[in-house]
Amino acid sequence: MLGRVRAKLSEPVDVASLATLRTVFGLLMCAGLVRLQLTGWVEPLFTAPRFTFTYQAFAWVPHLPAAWVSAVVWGAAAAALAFALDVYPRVSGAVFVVLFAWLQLFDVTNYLNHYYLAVLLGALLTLLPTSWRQGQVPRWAVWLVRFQVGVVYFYAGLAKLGSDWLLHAQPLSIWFAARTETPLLGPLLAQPWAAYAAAWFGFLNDLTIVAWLSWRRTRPFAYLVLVLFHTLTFVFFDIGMFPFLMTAAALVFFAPDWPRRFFLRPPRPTVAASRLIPLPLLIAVGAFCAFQVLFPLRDLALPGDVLWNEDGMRWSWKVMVREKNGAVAYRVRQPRTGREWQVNPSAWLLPRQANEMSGQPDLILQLAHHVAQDFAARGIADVEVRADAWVSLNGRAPKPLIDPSVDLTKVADSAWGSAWVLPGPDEGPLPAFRPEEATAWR
Amino acid sequence: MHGRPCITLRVILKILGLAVVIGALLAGLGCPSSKTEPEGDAKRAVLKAVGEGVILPTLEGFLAEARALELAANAYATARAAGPASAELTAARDAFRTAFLRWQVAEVLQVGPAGPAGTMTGGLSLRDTIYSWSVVNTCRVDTHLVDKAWEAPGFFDTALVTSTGLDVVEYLLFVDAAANTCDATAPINTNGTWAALSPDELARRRAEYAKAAAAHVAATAARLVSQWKEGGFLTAFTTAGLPGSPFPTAQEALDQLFAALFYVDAIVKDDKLANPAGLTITCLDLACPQLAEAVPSGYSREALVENLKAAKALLRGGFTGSGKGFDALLAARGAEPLADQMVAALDEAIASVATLTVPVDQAVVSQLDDVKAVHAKVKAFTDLLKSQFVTVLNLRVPQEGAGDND
Repeated sequence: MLGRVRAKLSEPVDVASLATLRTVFGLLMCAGLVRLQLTGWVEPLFTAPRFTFTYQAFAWVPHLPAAWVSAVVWGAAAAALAFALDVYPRVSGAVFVVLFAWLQLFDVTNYLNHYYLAVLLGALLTLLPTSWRQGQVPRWAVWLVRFQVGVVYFYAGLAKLGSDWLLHAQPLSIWFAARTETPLLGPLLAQPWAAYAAAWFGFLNDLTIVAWLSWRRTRPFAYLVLVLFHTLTFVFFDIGMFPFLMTAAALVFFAPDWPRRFFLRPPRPTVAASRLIPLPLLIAVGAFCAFQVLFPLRDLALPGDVLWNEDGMRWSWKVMVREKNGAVAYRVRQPRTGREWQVNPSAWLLPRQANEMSGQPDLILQLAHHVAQDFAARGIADVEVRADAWVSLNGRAPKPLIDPSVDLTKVADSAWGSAWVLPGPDEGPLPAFRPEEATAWR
Repeated sequence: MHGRPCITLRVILKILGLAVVIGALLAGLGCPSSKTEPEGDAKRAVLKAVGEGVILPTLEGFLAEARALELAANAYATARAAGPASAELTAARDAFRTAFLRWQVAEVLQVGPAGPAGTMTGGLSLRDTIYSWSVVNTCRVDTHLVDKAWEAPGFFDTALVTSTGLDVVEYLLFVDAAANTCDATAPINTNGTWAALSPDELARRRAEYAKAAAAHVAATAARLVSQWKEGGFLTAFTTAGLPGSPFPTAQEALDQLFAALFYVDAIVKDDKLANPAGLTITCLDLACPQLAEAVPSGYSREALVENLKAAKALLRGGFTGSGKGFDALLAARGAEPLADQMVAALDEAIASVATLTVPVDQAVVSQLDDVKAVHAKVKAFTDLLKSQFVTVLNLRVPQEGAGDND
């Protein structure tokens, strides 16, 4: 059995689809990084923050001086371009991945699922044979990229399997109500059914699109639906390169030689003799796939609602499933003197960072530790820091997110759940948008 | 086999083209005119109620009062040139109080020309010229009293905001101390120029500077009102999202109104209450009275009340509650209780200010717990503002604009 699987995985197929994906991916990343520079986002995202949040496992990642950040962005853009143009793809791809990953690890409040996907795809396309010069690649290489893209869609669909999304069309109806002025399609969003239709369309699309793309007969129509889906998300939401990235990446589900047939029509490469995938490599690929399957599911093993406590939220493809805002203040107390302060996170954070932090308990904890250090640096040592955090999830009435009695300086961040995070709300979210009421008082 | 994928992709392109056409037709059916666009109109109704019923009347009222202050300061300066003029000083102080408290309403309405340039649509940073607190520098004002800088042509065009505005007028009309607020190493103290001023000369100069500063406040107020009316900002604001308005969408204008409402959080709660009450890291002592607003005049409590009333007017869409403010949009989203809760929180905060029997700078010494209670009441409002309110209306403050989402 294993032998047959290895033989199938090792069959040579055309490199064209992977090579095309590498080219499009590189161009998209280059464009995205140039956009980052030209829109002036480098300053607010990287150089302006006085405090940055670190990922638990990546606290060791060094911060470069502000002046170097632009160089990193330009360097990553140049590497992405070289990667796209097949110029030393292993080297240029590796440089891109390292620099882009460094940018993403700079501050947790910059985290986006599609940045994570860009790092993963960049790494895969660097490690896999994707140069045109290869002619052919083993089938497992194409399947691995398909798997990675499929994981994103499937888990994005799974994340929508909840009453907020499916029964209450939230947070879509909140977002739609704010976007009814979008040219052409905006007024459709004001229709009572629009948010529900979009919620179910998004759910079914994400959950099943891989199956439709994998079946040759439905593939063209599935891709059409996928293009429509991502076009709509691009029109309505500020999600940057994500729609382009996914639309391009999904092409990998077509036959490996599709670019050669459609665009290039050069002679097909000669069929190379199949070399069986080495067992260690098979194990490594299997381990990677197992990680990608299991890691996004970790919230199922943790108590509470992931949308509320965020345990298992990142790196899990829970894309666009919550609208969450909160008000956080720290109550700092020095037991020795009995003196108390109530400090606003804005003393350390930019408004964007404060907004991102307000709904994420681990970030609230991280800043609490920094607050204690900052007080100590000002000569006020041994303080207790408690958080007064009121959070609204998908339009619900605000509830306290953090146990206000817990001294956060005594708490260490844990990947295995957070007892100091209070249970989420029991009641349903805000009712879906009702435009007739919006006009009733006019 | 070789040709089939090619044909398939061509079919895809054809279907894509067809989908675009059908989509455009569907969209066209959905938006025949602005009359059937409920949300844009609902938001513009709020902007109209707030623009015409709250902001412009406030600014026009302030202009009239700033002109009255200019006249009163002029009368005081004229009288003071001839000798003591306590009646004129009292009249000038009364005029200051009226204008100052009206401006405290406008403080919460900093959209358009009053708002920061580069951040707000139509922003000209006129607020800072009219009133720069908590950015103040009384030593600079004292230095000007020595060098009579305000007499120089064009002084107010180039002066820093700490040399102009209501905070300067307040300092000049309400402080009659013989000492200055600069430290001993400041040139006016080391070279003896301050000491050389007689009390009478000092009073005269204070009156003259106050007269000039009040005139500049009135001129800036006139410019502000002119920008709203003749300059067309009111039209731009109330027609946001329609052709010709610099606001691409009514939602964006609402975002900026929301950013203005954030004054209650950043300035009222933190700067006016938490800082002097020693609740923030800015104040490491038990209390910091010097950080309170309006210390010379003692109008800090009244200022708080006017700020909170202005926030209520934005929620209700008018000072009498008869307009259509953010509460109407909240109701349309099924969050009517939130609007009532926020108004109730503001009412409670306003009521709690009444428990302070002395201005905030004194209250943080004699009634610290009461000041902290006021802070807690204001915080109850801002907690709702920063959590459910912003979520339900999907608002964004301009500074949050950088970056994408997913």
